[in-house]
Amino acid sequence: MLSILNEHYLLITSLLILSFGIIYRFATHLNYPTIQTSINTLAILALVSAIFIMAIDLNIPTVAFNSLFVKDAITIGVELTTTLLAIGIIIAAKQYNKKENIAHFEYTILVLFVLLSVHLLITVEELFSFYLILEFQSICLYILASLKKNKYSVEAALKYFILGSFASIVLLIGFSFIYGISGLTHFEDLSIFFKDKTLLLPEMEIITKYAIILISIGIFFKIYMAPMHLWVADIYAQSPTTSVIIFASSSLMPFYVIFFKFYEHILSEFYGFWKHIILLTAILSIIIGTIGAMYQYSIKRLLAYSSIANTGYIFLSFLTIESPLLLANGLLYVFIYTINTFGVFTLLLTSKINTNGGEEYIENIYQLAGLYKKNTLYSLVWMIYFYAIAGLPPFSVFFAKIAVFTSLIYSNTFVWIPILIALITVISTFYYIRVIQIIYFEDEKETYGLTAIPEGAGFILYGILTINILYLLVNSELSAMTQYFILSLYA
Amino acid sequence: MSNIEFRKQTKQDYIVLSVLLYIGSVILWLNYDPFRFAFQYEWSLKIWDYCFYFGIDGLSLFFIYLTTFLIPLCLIFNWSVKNESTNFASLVAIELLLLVVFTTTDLLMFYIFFEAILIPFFIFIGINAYRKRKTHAAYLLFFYTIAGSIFMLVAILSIYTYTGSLDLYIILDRNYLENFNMEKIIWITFFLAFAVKVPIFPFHIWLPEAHVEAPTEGSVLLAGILLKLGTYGILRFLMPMFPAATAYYTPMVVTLSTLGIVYTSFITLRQIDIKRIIAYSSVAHMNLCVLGIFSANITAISGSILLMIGHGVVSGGLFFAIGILYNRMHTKLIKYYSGLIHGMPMFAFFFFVLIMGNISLPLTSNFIGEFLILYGLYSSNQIYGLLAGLVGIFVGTLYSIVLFNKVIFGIRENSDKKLIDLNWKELNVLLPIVLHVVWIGVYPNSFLDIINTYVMYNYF
Repeated sequence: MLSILNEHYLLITSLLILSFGIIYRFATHLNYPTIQTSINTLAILALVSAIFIMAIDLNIPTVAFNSLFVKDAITIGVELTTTLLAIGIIIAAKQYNKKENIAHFEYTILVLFVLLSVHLLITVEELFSFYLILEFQSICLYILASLKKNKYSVEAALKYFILGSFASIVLLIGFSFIYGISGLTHFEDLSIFFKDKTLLLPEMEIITKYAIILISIGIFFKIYMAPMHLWVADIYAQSPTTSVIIFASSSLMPFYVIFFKFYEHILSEFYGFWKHIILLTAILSIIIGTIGAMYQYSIKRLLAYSSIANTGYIFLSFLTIESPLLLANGLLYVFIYTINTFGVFTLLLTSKINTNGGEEYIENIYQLAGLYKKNTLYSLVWMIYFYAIAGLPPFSVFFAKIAVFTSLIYSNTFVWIPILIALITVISTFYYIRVIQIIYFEDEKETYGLTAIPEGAGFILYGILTINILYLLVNSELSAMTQYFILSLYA
Repeated sequence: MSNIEFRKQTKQDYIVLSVLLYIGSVILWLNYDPFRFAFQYEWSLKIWDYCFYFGIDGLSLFFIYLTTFLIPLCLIFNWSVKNESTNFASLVAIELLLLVVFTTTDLLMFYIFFEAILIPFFIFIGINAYRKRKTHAAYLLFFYTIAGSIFMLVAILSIYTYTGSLDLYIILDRNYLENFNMEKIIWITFFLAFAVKVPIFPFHIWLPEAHVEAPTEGSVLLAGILLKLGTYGILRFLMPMFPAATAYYTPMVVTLSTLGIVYTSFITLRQIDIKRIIAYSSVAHMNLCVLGIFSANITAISGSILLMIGHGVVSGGLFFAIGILYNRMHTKLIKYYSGLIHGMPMFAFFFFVLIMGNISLPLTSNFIGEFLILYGLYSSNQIYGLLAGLVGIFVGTLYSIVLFNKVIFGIRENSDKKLIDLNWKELNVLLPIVLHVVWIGVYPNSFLDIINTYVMYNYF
């Protein structure tokens, strides 16, 4: 039972914090205190101790609950990273939630629940448990989208809820097809069942192909790959930024692992079939994300389209699945991109401007005009972040991008892909560079003035900035680590 | 946290740093052994897990010298203008990045820092230029370079998949390309990246735009050093790595650069903006350099390298001169200038020497380079290239003399504004440049000794 200790620990502590919150928030004799700060502190303490508990069974592959949950190196890696990100999110979101009247302690509890669901998602090895955990995560995300309590936020939540439920249903149909032909739900059993395609009946093969399509639709919806991407820009733009930071940094990492489990562990016999699905959606995502972002002036919409394009880059690396060392480059991209996205959203959470009424968070990229003249150092931070996510050297995303490029060139399956992607990369730099151009080139508007960065978020910002700049020196270490993670999945 | 102020002494710190780097490069040159061909001063820097390899040879030595020579002058020129702390920081950042580019022996490092120079340069144009068109110019600069070099990145990565390393020694040693077609494709990608930087004829549109919009120091750096990155890349990577493909594509390059020389020379005659004139003339000069490089002749290649250095000094000086004029009159159109000799005799002298350098008069730096290139073209029987070079030099004389005549001589119109001659700061900027122009023109052997050894060993 020790094996899945940190999930137990997270569940129990988050429920304890929840009950603490409920009891004290409605305490009449204390005159309904706002307990945001104490809940935040408790949550951070819980997460820090969870990291120590994770460190106990680091490097030990473990199996729990009749092999329902399996832990290996990659799950530990992802869990550590997401826990650190959750601590960062709680710190960074504090100021924004206070300002935008999201003063409910539920936000912190929801962060803990999303973290718990991510941890369970990457360890689970069974189809229907997977579906249930996915629903658990989705419901947390729907609530997060509606947290601002204005009509836009509620609209975003409703949109997310309806479309998300639809995608879950499609995913469930795919699972039931697989269950229908095999009668099995455990990943290990299924991988034995699908080991040899020639043993399957022709009807079963057709049904499996339908199931692959349906499951792909469900998963691609959750990570907003191209044909299923239309909802994401609206939801990013209308939800509170503190919720968007969770959507952006919690989706990619678990789904990369899950996708790997489905497609490489179970359905590797159908590689010839699903590689076309991935090729189509990935290329389409890159093109649509790039072209869509060019016309966006809302900064959150721009980042939404940019994440569509980047998801495309990441999933292209699944075309190199024949070699684990090549696939590891995709995982490297996932880690680096997630951390950078988190950094950029933290940047948004710290950027307030003085309008004539009061302070307001930045929505439009033209509100950044003249930032250089107001605050030189802060504009430098903006510049480095946007150069970094544009994938320009010598920052971290560049190295991740060339790692994926190298995999694609080396695997030599599709020669034209690297050339096409290179062309699109040039176009995609435009909309990142435009932000920098607005900061440094445009004249300052009279009404605007930027206020200072809050302390906690500032530490996160400068920390990720340092990683970005010095990434060059640790590149080989980190790629070796991702190779180790990926190899643990093959074991 | 975000409101950290830079100290006021920063300006002095930057200039001390850049002067120390200049002294360092002089010491490097004095200690350089001209009879050894390979990389000298090789050292590696191991930080945690990554090892950077550096080395200096006869090619990079002079580009390092040119960089460290021009940057302190830019800093002095920039001494008391607005935005000085950011300006100084980005200038010194450009200098350090350039030093890495010129000393690294790793292909990927070269690419990374080749691109990374764009970051401070983009900002530099943005905060110093004054017109709305600066955005257009900066985008042109940025996207021409990125679009040109992204395919080089793909090619570098594909080389990496063959060799497993991108160190120059390993790449040059190993015969990794299976067939000639592959080599031809990779050659094209490399050439595109460097051709945009030089710029060779069809890719030159960004340069005059960037020059006109950039501030004076930006133009000096652009003409003086950044354009040389293209030819440096050709000499360092393109020719040694793919000798067969270079031979195969030589007619194309010669045609393009011949067209470039004639076309840009004649375009220059019709320009009304002084900066545009110098910008187009640097396109012509750089195309002549490329012509010399691709003539496969030892004299011409040595001449090309010397012309790069000479042109870096001369065009840098000319842009400084224009900057001095602009600071006084706030216009760059020839129409508004005449009769400066009456008010600024000292300026007229320096401008005269630099213009003579630009038309490559004997005893100036460009003459030696252009003469060696023409000699090499003749001896390798490239008659059309030779003719184009001669046309370029002749037309160059025309536009340079016309420019000098219109600006310096004549009767001074709107003489209500008092002309002030060079002040101490500007004299200190122009004097070293003119000294270098005459030095290279009178005693080129101090450069050619090292260049010749390098060229003989590396290309023949």
